[in-house]
Amino acid sequence: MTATAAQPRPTARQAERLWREYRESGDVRVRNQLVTMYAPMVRYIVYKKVRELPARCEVEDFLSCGLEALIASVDRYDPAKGATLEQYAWTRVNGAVLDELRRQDWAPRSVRRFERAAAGAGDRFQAVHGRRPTEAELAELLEVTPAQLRGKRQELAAADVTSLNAVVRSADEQGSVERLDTIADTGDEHDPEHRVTVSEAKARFRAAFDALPERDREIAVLLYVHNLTLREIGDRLGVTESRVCQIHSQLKRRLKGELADDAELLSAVG
Amino acid sequence: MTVRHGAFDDSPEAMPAEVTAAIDAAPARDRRLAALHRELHVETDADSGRSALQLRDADGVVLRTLSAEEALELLAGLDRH
Repeated sequence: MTATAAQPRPTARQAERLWREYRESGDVRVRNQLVTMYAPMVRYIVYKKVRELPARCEVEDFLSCGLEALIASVDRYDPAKGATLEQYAWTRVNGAVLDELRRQDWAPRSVRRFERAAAGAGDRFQAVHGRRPTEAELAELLEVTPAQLRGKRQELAAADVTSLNAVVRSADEQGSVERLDTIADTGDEHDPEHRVTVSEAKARFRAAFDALPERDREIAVLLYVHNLTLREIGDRLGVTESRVCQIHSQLKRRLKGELADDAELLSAVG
Repeated sequence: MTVRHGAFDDSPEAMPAEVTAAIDAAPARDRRLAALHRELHVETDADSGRSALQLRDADGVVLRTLSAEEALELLAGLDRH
């Protein structure tokens, strides 16, 4: 549901008044009022992207980055450009969090563009043929050689340190699958050595996952399998979304620690 | 099947009602904080440009420096009461 009111809400009008007061007086207390007014948008934007945060990153870094962007938006807002302060802040905070995600991302943007193109081509192929494309077919769709496709996939795998603790979402199904299970599309499924490696990697991951406290496991399943938001999980478990976020950060650290010795094995399977 | 991990969408969604409701609750939040004789202050370092969030009393005395997560949780907590 989105806010589509034609007239500015009273709070939006109040914010404009406060902003003009801050502009004229430079009073930081007025700026603080504006920052605390819009702070919930930072929390919402960051928590919404919590599944995309690389395993080594802390939520705090992204919240700080969002708050910095919010403060900057109050300082740099120009009503002459037509947007309301609220719209301007929303856009800037979104942009800053995305930029931070990209900055923390180990894959170049060109590789991420390729990833999106490959996903789109695969989806379109499936819509027509009712199955996923083979490696050769996908390479042809993307106008690259199979070797180039494998190279790009290796770059992506090297950049993706969350590869195995991320259960990926399916756009065309209600459920989700483990990232490991998506590897069959590469054509390696007939390679016995690869199958053994995948099987071993899965077993290691499951062992590490099973070693997590019950609440951590429950939160991981609700977040990655059922695709609930942090708030929905908090409501279900009777804790705040911040607490869920903290537990989620802890479980990522625990998994990372548990799987530290298996990095080579995990990177070999994608 | 689309693997969405790592693929970032550039266009922000429209602001959801959940966020506008939290923004609209700001005056009540301010009143609750004032009733506790507390204020949230954003201190920006002129050199680094980095910001620190401070919980101050009504006289401006710094009681605690908060992390972003703590500050946002404090504000969300005021909404819950």
